[in-house]
Amino acid sequence: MASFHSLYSQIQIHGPHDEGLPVKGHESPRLITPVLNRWLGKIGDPQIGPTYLGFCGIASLICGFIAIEIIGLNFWASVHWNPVAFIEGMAWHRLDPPEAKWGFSPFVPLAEGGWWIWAGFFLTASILLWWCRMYLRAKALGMSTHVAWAFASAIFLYLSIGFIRPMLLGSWHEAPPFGIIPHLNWTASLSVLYGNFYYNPFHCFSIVFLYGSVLLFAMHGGTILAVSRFGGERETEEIVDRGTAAERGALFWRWTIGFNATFESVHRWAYWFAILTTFAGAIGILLTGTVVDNWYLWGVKWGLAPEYPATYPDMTLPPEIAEQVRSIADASSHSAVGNPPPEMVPPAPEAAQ
Amino acid sequence: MKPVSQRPRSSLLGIFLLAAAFATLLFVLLVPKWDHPWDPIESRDWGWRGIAMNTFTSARTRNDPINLVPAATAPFPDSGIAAGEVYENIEVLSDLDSAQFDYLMQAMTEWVAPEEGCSYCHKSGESFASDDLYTKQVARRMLEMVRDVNTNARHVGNVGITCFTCHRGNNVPPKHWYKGAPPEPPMGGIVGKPPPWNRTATTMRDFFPRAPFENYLLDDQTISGAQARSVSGEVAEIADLENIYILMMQMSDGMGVNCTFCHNTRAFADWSQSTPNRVNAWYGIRMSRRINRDYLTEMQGLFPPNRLGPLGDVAKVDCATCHNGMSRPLGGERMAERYRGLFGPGSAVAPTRATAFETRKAHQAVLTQPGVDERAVTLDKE
Repeated sequence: MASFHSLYSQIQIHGPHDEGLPVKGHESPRLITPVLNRWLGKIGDPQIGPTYLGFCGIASLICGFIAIEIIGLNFWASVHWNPVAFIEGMAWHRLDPPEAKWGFSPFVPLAEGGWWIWAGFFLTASILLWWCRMYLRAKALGMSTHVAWAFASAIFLYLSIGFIRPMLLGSWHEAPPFGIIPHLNWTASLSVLYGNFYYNPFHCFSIVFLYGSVLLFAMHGGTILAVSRFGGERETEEIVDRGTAAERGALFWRWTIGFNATFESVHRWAYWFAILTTFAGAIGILLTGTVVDNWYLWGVKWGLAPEYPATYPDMTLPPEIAEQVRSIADASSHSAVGNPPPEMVPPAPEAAQ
Repeated sequence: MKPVSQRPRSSLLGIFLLAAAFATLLFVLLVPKWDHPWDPIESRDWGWRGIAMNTFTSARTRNDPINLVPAATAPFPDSGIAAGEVYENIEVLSDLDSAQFDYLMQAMTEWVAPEEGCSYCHKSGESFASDDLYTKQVARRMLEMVRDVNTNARHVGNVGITCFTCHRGNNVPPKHWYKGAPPEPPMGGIVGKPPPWNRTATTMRDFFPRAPFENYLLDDQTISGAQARSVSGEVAEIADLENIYILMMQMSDGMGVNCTFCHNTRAFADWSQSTPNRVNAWYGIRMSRRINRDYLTEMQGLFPPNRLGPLGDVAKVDCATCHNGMSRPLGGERMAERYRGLFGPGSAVAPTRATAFETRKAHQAVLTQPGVDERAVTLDKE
């Protein structure tokens, strides 16, 4: 208890560096002579390094560098190389995808979105190479590849938004711009354009898994900290040789919610909740505009969006708007699949003149 | 490597990090304008229960000096003589009782040129009839505009507008907009578009691109297609969509309201779920367009260069020009009715619009459904 490596210990070991396991196979050298940092030791391991880049790491960094250069230089050029304006507008600069007229063509003039395609290409290459690195390093250490597959789920969402969905819809224009505020504006606009993402069930699932991940993390972290006085932070040992820490943690949850995950399965819970957050999100994105045009009307059709009594039944619409509303209602009651049943169509106000 | 006891404690980094964190905290606390907990945002629910059709207001906006109603002077008794008989060169108000004419002129001075006084429009030392100053010619056209709006614009209901609604004691209304500088592609266009935002802006309001105002408050572009196919029948370009988004945010900021003042945000486009405020706003957009096109742009030639924008265009209006952060300008104060000259011929008593939403006493405002407004809609028609 309260000895070396207990969560209760404030002791930092500043001794000879830990170079890590020797592993077999041909390898690039490990980089960076390890250094120890007292402050880092307060939140983790005090030792920085060694790190490993190898082919994938180096290629990934180069691609990432090129992508950021393309984006950053476009930003800077857009303010005529004014350094002050560049810094000032950092949140607002934008690099837009090609306009709709270019479709999904890979050959777009640089100034009209070609730079966006190149930046996206190198960013994607960088991310995929980084994924390879996660996978290969895990293999090199004899580990399983869980981390790489969790990362793959996030990459799938990224690709769905920026590449797969635009490809399905045949237009780069559906993809988000680069830039901090611009991509947020895009997010808000896209949700409104496709009839409100809150009625997209996969958006709902994604949120469930996201919040679920947070809840699981809090429950798991809390449990382990709470039983560390019984040696509970040695989770892996308790998985195979259940001790009093695991017993107490399990009983705590059986007492409070009637059911407990085990020291082993709680990690699978957390892992899958995290993976499904981005995976469900990706499915929701891929269905938008391809299968479902308007999530609000989809919600109306399937009873997800209840109808509320009109607060202003006597509201008089401007004549041309009333005409427009009526014609849309007429059109959708005649058309085929994909539209809500007639009684769900917003009624044309009687009072309209 | 030296034993630990001989090495300096590496606390410099820690001190630096703590100082940086403290500086960041101070910056975040002190630099932005925060809403104080003792000056709370008021939230009021207008829709069916549980659907969050709330509107947020704050006493700070109501009590902002710019939104305080000026004290009215005692009305003048009628003289019985028309202004056209008393004064020379009266074009707009010649039928008005001369005492009411004086009363209005006095008020206009307070509203538009409190510091310069009469000589802002009437060259001192010359006859009042002289049209030498451009300001007088503009003022005449502005009077026509106010009379047109008060008589014909459904948007202003029976509240009406005065010069003060926009001017607030300034020569130029504090909230106005000019066209943005034309996009100048950097490096001969190799690297795409220049940023549309205005870097020299001092407020967020001025920072945003002008395109939304130009498209929707000056040109005829319709605000539609912001919702996917099956609702509006067409889809906007995403670039247009962003302009619509910016215009809506400017409207919302200009009126000090949030989206649900007009829309049920679960289905922005659906009129059947919107509030009557959206109808009023729809007329307001058309009124702004008419004012910008038929009055302000037309007068462009009258103004000296220092009153024009970077592209030589006249200052134009948007929602904020009148509203100044309140859903009803000046809290719905009926300043106009004291001045007969502000209503054109044929203006009968306007029917009451009962949207007592934002009054001076917000918490006592009665929740009433707006009545149907039967007035002729001429100014709103394009």
